[in-house]
Amino acid sequence: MIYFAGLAIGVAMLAFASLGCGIGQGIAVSGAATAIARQPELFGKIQIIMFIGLGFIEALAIYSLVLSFILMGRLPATEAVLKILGAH
Amino acid sequence: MTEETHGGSEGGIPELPTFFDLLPIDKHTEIFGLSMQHELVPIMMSMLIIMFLGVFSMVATRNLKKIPVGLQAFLEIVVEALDNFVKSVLGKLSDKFLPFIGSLFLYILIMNLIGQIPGFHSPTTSYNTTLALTLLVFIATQYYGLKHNGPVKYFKHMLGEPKWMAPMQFPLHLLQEYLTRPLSLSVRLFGNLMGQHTVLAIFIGFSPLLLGLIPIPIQFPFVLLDMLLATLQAFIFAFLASFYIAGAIGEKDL
Repeated sequence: MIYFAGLAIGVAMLAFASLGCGIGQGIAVSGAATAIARQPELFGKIQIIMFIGLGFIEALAIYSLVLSFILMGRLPATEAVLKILGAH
Repeated sequence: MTEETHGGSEGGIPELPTFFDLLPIDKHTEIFGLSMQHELVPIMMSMLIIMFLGVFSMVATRNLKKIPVGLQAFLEIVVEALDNFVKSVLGKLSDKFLPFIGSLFLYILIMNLIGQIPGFHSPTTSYNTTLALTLLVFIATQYYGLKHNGPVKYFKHMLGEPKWMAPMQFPLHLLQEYLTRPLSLSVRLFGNLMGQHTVLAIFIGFSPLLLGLIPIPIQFPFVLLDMLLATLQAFIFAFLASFYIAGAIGEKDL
């Protein structure tokens, strides 16, 4: 039971990956916006670099999503848990 | 999660139904040891896309004209954009790698976007597909690295630049070349696509019915996001493939 509780908390904690991911993307976009405001003629190049960077940062949150799907398959169904809880 | 949103997947991950679900075949049948649900559908879809791309290219370039019209003009825009992109990374070797990188990009792009059509399924939501694509890039990287530099220079590159740091850098380089890069490349594409399509499937399963009859498409914002991210992931895959090949050949020869 403790094992499954730990697993469930772990799956929930994986959502914190989006916290760091959001901060990183915010910094990246703010840097790109500043650069474009300074040199509007480089808009295309900066945009490509920004999108590639955003894709890299996004992948980190996606890794945790994949991990959470893998771990979610290991969790027991709600009915089974309720049955065990009701028995006690 | 109800049975309708599942589309018959066992792993608990909701999947959208494909037109293979309409065929009178049991989902758990195995052909050549490959199960219908998880292996054969992506393979069929990949074949469909390969045939589509091949026939489209053949039809568009059947009678080439000096002043392009119609499909030929469209394909020329695409090829020129890809040429510029590969040239920006690989320099004067770009002509050699344009067919590989370009077809990789177009193939992945169509594979990512085809999942948005009802009844179709993105093969990239299966890890087998992305792993196969990554192995292609991996083999190309190692082959051209060895061919252009020779075994000695290739090995020297692995040792790193300050030679006294070699004992520390050599294992790190090995790990990077043979494990981290292929793994991150494949998992990035697979995870993005699987995540997007799972989100779509969940929201389609939750969509409320207007007057009990007409479903409200609450997944619509995610469709737009998916189309953006699918294009972006195809671009990132192609960019990283060309970047790895350029790194293996060495900056001086580009």
